Amino acid sequence: MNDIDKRLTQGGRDNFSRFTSALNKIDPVMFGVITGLAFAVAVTGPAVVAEMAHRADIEAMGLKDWYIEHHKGGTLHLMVEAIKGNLQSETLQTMIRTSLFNGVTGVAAGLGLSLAKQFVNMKDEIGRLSQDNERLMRGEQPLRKTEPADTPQRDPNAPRGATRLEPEELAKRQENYLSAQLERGLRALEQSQDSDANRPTQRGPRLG
Amino acid sequence: MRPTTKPCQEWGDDTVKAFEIASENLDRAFELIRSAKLIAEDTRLFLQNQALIYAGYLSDVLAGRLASDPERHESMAEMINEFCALVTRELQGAASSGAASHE
Repeated sequence: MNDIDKRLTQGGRDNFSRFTSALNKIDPVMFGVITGLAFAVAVTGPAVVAEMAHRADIEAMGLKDWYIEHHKGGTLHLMVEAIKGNLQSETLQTMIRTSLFNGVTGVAAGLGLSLAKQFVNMKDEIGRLSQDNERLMRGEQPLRKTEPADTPQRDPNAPRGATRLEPEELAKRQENYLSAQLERGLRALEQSQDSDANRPTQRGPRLG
Repeated sequence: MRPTTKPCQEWGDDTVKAFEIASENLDRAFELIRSAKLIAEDTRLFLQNQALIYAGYLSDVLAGRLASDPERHESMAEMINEFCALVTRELQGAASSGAASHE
């Protein structure tokens, strides 16, 4: 690493630490999501870790559900739109695609940091919801119940699960699920990568 | 990077202008990061990901998705500008000295 790399890394790290400290005061959930991505690519700094006082609150409230409820079309939506190629700015598109791809693969590699773990948990949850979505769309029940054990008793005659909603409303809601958005985005990313690379997509070890 | 929706309606023109300037600075900084030849790939990735986070933040603010005290957001726009200034100073300076050494 030469002097320019060192100055850029140190200066960038200091700047980012101050930025996340300030962001945490404005929006703890967005702070959790973006610093989770940042940690995934090894952006570390003592000040960032020190500012994780709200982490327990984020986890307690349920990161994904809270984000969907209050940040419709927020940063995660931006990432999905970037993957799909729907953003107006090519620069922003490239930035987000690069970071998302590196960030997600970095997290998937299994960093031991608490924020990375949080993001992995969210990914697991998204994967589970995606499976449940598919089952619901086929008219089947989700694989696992998510209701807590102490949920009050329901009226036994009341419609349950997907049948509570009219088909149009159900479809509209499912379209907006974060899992559905991510699924569409990742599918688009795979397609664009296949066409860009113009090469076979076989992965993994080659046998024989 | 241009906002795709209306800026936060409750903010004054100066605040919105500050964020538009930060967006333009970030665009230029990203181009410098992407085209820089004298930095390691790790550094490039590090800077690109920071720029992404700043871009995501700016996009949400300009779309009015993050409500808070305008002064607090202005101070964050200033931090983004500082990041852009750091990138510009280091990478443009390196490019200039590199070009001079080739002459």
